[in-house]
Amino acid sequence: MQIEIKHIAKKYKSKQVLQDICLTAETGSCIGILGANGCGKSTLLSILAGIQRCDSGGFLCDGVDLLKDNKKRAELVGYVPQGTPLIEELTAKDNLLLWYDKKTMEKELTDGVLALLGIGDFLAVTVSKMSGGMKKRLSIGCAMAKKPPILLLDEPTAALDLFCKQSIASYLRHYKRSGGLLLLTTHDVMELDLCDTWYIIQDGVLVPFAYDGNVQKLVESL
Amino acid sequence: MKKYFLIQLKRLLRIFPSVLLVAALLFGCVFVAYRAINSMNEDTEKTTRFQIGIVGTAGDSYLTLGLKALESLDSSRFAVELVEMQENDAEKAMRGGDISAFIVIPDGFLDAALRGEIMPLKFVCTSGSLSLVSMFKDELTRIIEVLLIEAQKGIYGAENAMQSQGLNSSQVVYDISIEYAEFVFTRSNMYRASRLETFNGLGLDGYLISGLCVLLFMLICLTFAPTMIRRDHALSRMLCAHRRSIFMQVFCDYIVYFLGMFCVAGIVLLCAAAMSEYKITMLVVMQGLAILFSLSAMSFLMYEIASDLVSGVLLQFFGVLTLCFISGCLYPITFFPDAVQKLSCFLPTGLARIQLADIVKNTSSFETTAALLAYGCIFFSGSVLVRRIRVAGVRG
Repeated sequence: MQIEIKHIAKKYKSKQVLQDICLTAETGSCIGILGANGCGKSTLLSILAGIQRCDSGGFLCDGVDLLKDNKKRAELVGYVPQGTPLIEELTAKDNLLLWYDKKTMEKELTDGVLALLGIGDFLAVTVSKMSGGMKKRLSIGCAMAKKPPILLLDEPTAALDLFCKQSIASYLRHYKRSGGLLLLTTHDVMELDLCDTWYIIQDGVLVPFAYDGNVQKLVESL
Repeated sequence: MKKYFLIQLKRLLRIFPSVLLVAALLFGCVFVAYRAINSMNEDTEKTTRFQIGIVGTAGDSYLTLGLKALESLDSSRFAVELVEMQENDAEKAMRGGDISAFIVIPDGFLDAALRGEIMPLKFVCTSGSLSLVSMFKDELTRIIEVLLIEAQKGIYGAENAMQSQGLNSSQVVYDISIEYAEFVFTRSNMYRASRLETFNGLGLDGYLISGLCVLLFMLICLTFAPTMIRRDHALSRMLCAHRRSIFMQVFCDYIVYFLGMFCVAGIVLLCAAAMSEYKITMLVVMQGLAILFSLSAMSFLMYEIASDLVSGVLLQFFGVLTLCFISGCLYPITFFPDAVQKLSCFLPTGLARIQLADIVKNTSSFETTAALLAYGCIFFSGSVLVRRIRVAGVRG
């Protein structure tokens, strides 16, 4: 499976946030999108997830424009936004039941994605009492309900401790190895290591960047 | 969206006992406040007399006698004390708050009135005592009425006397009658007589109940704040990515909120009705639902606008207090300036108070119900719009 982002552009009033964004990627890879705060990373992901409309451009998957075919997009694309897409007053199980039917959830908890994310350990815990890492794992678990081959993650490990970052990175590596395509926005060095291709958004333009582990060089590029 | 609705319902059930507890406490507080205001008002009514300055009566024994008669025969609930004084003294006294208003009676007013001529009176008052003055105008209208009726009796008496003396009185009586009829029809030119409907046709008790119910209801909305205010819209975004529309999300959220409010308000009002032996009919339920729809949609919109718990609670609390105050829910609306009185009839809280007054009086008004429903729809649409902007407004 191949995805192709073609000439995506977005304008907020007079500000051109994204212009002529193009990239191509194949399943089993991870693309990292970097950039300064407010440069348009989250906007790009929310356009690809179908939350916002772009002014022009397309998001093709094997020739099908997912920006036009909402049903196909919902099947193929999983999206984990910034923040907590969970209901704080309810337990992990209640939250999962919003996305999974009961049978599938139980199966996934035994030997599926939810088991890999270790959600079974805190199934009965109320979200408001969970740690940041638990919440993020649960969020990814919810986004994986339809087993999408493409996963969009908006700063997935922001504000998490090292142990949590490693745990989530470990799952994302597994997802990539099993043929998933990851597209993530990040500021985190650990997540950069996870990526195969890196891009920086500068003045609304997507610029390829060769990351070789040199953070100083990366900062200068930003 | 069925799953989302059920999950939201489950969420509501988790917090419902605490909401009910807070609602009971609020109900108790409002009930105590109502009793306190009511008893305070009764005491005030017994002891307070509003002082009105009368200027221009010096030396006119008829006017003095008439005013004394007015003061002693005044049957209105707010007793008025009339104080004769000079215009300068009256101005000073009013600025000092010693009198509520003063009326300047021009020289020859009574003679002119008896001749059927109009001499306008001058009313001087502060904006806060406007209702008092309009009540006084009402009393003066009645005096003129008495004058006319007695004069008419005099005319017929004179006619009888002339006829008994064998004189032709028909033309004279006709002329005088026409003259007095003209006076009757034009006496409104003397001043703008406005009828005082202090409490929308309700007694103070009923008025306070309807006003405080609106306040109580709006305060109950506050108890839902922790669950209704969204810290971020990540869940909405994720739902959007899964083809769950913003409209349906807001609809589900609102219906759950409405159901919660319905249960709480229903329990509270059933208790209140049981205490006062009020009969709840289907019409009352329909009228109540219109209030519930409008006010809950308004509070829902406020929660959508708020970006965090603190700002949401503050917005709701001060918004509610302000709206309730200028809608006359805390104090009789007739004591507010005309502009505020007119404005209150267009505010959702004002309409809710009027609708509640209708419920207490066992009457109904289609216009009020329709306006409340229209407000509800506007607030709901506003909520959808705000959510749409918030969810789509991803920057970064």
